[in-house]
Amino acid sequence: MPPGNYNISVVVTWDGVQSAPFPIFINMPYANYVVNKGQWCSSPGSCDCNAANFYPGQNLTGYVTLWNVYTEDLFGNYLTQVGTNEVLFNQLFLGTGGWTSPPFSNPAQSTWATTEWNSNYTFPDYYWICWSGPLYPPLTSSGSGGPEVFSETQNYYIGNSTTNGYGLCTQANAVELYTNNGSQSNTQPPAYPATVCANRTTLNTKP
Amino acid sequence: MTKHFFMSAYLGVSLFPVVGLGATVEDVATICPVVAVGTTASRIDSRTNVSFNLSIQRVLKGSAPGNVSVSHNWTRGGIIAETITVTSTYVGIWCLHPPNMSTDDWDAQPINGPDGLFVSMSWPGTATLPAAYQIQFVPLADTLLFELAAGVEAYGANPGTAIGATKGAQNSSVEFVANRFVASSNPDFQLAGLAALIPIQPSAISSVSGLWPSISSSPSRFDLVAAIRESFRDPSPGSINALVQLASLSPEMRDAAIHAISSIHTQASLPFLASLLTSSDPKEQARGVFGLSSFANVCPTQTPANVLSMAYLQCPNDGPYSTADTTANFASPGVPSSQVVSFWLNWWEQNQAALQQPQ
Repeated sequence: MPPGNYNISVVVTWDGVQSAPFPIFINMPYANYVVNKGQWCSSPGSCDCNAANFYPGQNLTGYVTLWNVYTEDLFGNYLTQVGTNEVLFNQLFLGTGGWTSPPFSNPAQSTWATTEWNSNYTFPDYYWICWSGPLYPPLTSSGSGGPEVFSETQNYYIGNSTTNGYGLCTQANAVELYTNNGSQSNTQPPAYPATVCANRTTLNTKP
Repeated sequence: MTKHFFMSAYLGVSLFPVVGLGATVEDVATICPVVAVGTTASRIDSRTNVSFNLSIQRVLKGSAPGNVSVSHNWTRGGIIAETITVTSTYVGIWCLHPPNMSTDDWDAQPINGPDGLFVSMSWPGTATLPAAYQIQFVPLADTLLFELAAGVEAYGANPGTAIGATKGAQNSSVEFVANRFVASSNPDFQLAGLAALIPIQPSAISSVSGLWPSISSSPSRFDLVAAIRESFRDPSPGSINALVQLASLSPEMRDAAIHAISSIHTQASLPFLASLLTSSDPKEQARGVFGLSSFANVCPTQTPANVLSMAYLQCPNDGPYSTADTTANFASPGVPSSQVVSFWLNWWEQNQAALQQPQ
């Protein structure tokens, strides 16, 4: 539950007579929650890197993991189609077996204006690796239990800005890419991100 | 007496679509200079750019030649080789920008997700629009919805893409698409159709419990749960009763039903709202206080349209049950104090006989 404290207490003085305090509460985007939809398929049987409009027929190995994210305000209302962005930092590859940069480039930061909001309330975040070269540990299609090969810290910002890092930070977490799926971890409690985001606190460790 | 004031600090959250990306048929109809159904057979996909040729089947807005060369600069997401040529045929609905003084290429604007992914560049489309969707003399937004629905059906794509894009289309067109989806044998299409119907056709709520066993484990069920939670606002006693029944289906459906009932907060909803005051879950207690205090203080129904403006908290306090104490004990965010809960328990005890009379 969000805090119930009021932000401002206003006292009005008129002709020397002081009013009772007026407590004023400022509502705002408060927290993100994630609906893990797991393996992404463009249609049944067309999944991961071979999904339509990803990299079908390219003989690429790998996975596409979709996380759907929704945002609540302090009253627990879902927000709809709000400009959103993310900041990614402390991006770390495993460093062995080909899991190095280069040849890999760090995943790029995304912005979501009024993009694909599934039935209006969620925005999609894709974690994906599609590759054809030799790697150890080897990359596979979607699954679970694979070793971790990459990590980074991810901060989501809600507001109208599509400039990365602008808006209200509503979630801070680590991203962990494994050989067969991507996931969020070490997600901070909802009241915490404003501080942790402002300080760019790292939440991930080297795989 | 304590008077509560609520302010919204959404940091510049706009009620209008941001130019640059559009998710709804209204956005695409408004923002895109040219909208066309077109087919691409291959693309060159690099970290900084994607380029491809489009064979245009139908121009829905603006004008375009039969073939256009598209180049879009992006920062590609994910991890993949630096540059890759992808040979794959795909029919999409594209938001196109004609060439300008500095280039002969057209640009395509992402309309289906974050920039940097080719899947975000277009909605699924069909080379030939099925006869069922060839409905003429409707606004462009409705035509776009029909094209998108046909594309989603043709590809077996996520039906939430179409349902999430309905804003701006006429209710009759949304109902047409939603009813087609509901009639599908695919449970994901059924739940997406119901999610779209529920806000505009209240009787659809009665179909949820019957469908629930087949969709309760679907990852897409959130679309339906969220639609009930945030958009179903029919005040009829029959609808309140249907929501009360849904509250026993699952924890997430209970949360959705409680949020909907407390947002509606009509007289018919009061017995259920009062029962929440003794819940062991503080979130349920909070919604019980919110619903009861919103009724007593004559607050508007909470809808998606008034969440951002917080107009649902602008209460006239002029009803037959409005008093200084009902204002002083109005709902606040967070866990309600035991004093506030006791107040509303006593309030219900004192008023329930009158409030449970047949309406």
